[in-house]
Amino acid sequence: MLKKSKLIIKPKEEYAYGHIIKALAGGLYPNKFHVIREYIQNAFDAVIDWKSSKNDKNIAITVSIQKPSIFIHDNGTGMDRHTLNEYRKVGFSKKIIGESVGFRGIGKLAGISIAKKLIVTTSPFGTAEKYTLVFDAEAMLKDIDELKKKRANIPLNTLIEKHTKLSSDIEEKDKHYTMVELHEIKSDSKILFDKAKLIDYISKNAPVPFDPNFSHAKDIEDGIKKFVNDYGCVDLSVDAQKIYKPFAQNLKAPQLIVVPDSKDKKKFIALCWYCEHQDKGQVKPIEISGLVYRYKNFAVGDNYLTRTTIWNTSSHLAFYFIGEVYIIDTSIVPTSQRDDFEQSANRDKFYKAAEIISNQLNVVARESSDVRRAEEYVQRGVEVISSIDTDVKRKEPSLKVLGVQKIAEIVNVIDNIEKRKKNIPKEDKKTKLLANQVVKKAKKLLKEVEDAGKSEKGEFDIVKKLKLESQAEQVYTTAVRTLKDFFVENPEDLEKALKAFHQNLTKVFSKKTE
Amino acid sequence: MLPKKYATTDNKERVRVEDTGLIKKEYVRKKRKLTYLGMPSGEMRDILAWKDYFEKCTAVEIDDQMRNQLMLNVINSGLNGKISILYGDIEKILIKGSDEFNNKLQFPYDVVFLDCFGTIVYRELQRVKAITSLIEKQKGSDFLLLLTFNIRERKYCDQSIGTVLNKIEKELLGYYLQDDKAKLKINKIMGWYKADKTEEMYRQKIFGSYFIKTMAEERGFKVHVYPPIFYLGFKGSPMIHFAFKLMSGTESPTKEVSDQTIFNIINLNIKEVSNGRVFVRKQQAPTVGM
Ligand SMILES: C[S@@+](CC[C@H](N)C(=O)[O-])C[C@H]1O[C@@H](n2cnc3c(N)ncnc32)[C@H](O)[C@@H]1O
Repeated sequence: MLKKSKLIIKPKEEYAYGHIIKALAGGLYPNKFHVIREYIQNAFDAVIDWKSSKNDKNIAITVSIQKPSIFIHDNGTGMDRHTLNEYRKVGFSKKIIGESVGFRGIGKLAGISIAKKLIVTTSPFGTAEKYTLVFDAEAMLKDIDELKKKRANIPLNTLIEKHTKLSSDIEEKDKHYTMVELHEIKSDSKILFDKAKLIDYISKNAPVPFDPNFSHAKDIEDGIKKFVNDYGCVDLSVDAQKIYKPFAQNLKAPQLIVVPDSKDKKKFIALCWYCEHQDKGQVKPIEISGLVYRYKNFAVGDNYLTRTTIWNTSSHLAFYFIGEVYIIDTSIVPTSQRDDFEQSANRDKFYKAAEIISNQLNVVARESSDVRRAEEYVQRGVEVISSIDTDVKRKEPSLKVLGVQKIAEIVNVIDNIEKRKKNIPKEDKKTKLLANQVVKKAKKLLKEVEDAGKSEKGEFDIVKKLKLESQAEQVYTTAVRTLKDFFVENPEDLEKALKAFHQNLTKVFSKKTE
Repeated sequence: MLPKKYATTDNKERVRVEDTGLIKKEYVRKKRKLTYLGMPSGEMRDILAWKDYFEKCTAVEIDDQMRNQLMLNVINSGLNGKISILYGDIEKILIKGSDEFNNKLQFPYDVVFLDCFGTIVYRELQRVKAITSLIEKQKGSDFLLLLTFNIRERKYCDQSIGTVLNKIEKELLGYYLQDDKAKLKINKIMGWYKADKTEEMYRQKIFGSYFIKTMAEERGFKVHVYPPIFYLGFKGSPMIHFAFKLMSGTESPTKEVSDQTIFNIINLNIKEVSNGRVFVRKQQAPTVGM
């Protein structure tokens, strides 16, 4: 079962001060949920290991909150006595960089920073035994403090040996599992008992399946499987509630972008799938919008990491999408915190190459927003024209006063639609037709309104009404033009502004003429 | 291999068969799955045996190793989400309604099994308080109460048990105000119970039955007591197992009157389980008349 082993800490370093472990365990995980992720990672590896040898469908990870403990259980390969015992030797890691998820080797001890005891119980398939390792973290950390006070030194592994106990018991031969109990979670980590938060974290970070209620789930998964060889996910439940990746509503069909290696174009270094928001603006809720990096299907960083690493311009457009970027090139490895990838030439190359994603998504977003704007202008045009049409038919008196604005509004409708008609997609015949109809009707209406103005000679033409002199008339037309330009996108405000302008003019100039 | 703290025995499993009958009856009568409060230990044989009748279970466990093993079995048998574990001393938990970590009991339960509940003596105030609290919190809901106690073999009658035996004697004498002959007989029989050489199980039988019956009646329940079962459990320790059916009464302000009289209770035979068989013990206590 043990394929290769790798010592991360060399024998000499085993004589490190015991408190190193404290610093390591405490400092590595400012986010307490990361500790849970470490154990889910180990569980996931065991599950993948088991699945690679047996075609077994009922394999799952179970997380359970039973205050004051949290349990993480998997029915993957399980460990034999020797492998479990190696848990006591810091530096041991069965995991090889790039081959397994928990490559740090230190992950297994993550629990000692948040729980008083770490209890690992495991049984490998085919052995009628189970093994339990109890790691008394509280006692060990106390010991470390004592040693520190005395400025004493003790080899790390001797210290661990002293505070761990391995025992065995009988078990059914065909059972295979590992259960980790984080026993008595300490008071500064109580947030882990917040089930909603724990579920939220797991759903976003662990390799759980897509939600069966997400209509694009199957297409996305089929797409990923074509390019990502080691794509895998695991059934995971928290207190009997199945956990899935979060998804949003109103999304367009998923699309794929492959990120090729800059040198060898036949080699892919990452795969991105994305769905564009069908409606205007960002995908809601914001926390699930944007793209997230996935390394062995675990999240690396959050939706802001992709935004800052692959978007150079218009990064807000990232959130108009939802999606993931799967790392295929295993030379790009996440940091132990998994908030980014380890700095390396390969990583930088990857970030650069991944700009293909932002470039494409920006274009898509802009096109969509052009389309959306064109559609909006047609829609608004329909409303404006029909409202003016009613006024005209009713011989609305305001029409006489506001004739100029109405004309401006109609002209705007015609202008806006004609300018943006080209953005309406060919397939959208309905909108295209509507656009033509609106323009046609607007042109007809324009004539009617102009005629209405003419028929009410002097009445609506404020220049004449107020007997403005030629210079004043010039000021008037300039002001109106300025307002029109200013409010070009907003005929309603233009109408209001012009109305107020006319009222004030009437007030001022009628006094003058009196 | 670590020394075992607890393991089941054939005798215990045979007692379980008896309990299974009672639980099944409850399930049929209530026409729904039941809720359970128990101390299933790491192996949770009770829950596994009865899981088809149970909807939700609350397990109480004081030992961290047992609790760990319990959780392993819960998950391995696919029962995660159906069982919540309270961590700590059952007595304190019954009194407080929750454990130190604010995991709460979910009253009322249909079946309560306090297994390995020490020995019953009045002196152990906390234990009395715990059972009282349980019965109070169950008020208004019928339930099956299963209790298993260790029998501590002594060559004398414990003072606190003696006090209760005196109380029982007084109550019995009350039925025979005019009949001196009958009174004498009662004195003689109770004298037998209190005698040093009388085996503890007989004292425990009437003590346990009387204690639960009177306490539950005062709290609005009618009580039916099943014949207690004597058996040798883990490491050969003598045990006595009780089963009570507590039926919520009519909410009358005075105490409830059960169908069984005090005479019926005292005259209950002790059953025994041994070598996988259940039988009525040959040797029984003398019976009281009426
Ligand atoms: C006799 S075993 C239970 C067996 C189980 N009910 C069955 O039917 O197989 C009793 C369990 O309760 C636990 N226990 C003992 N005293 C306790 C107490 N005061 N509070 C909570 N748990 C206790 C023991 O650790 C043990 O696991």
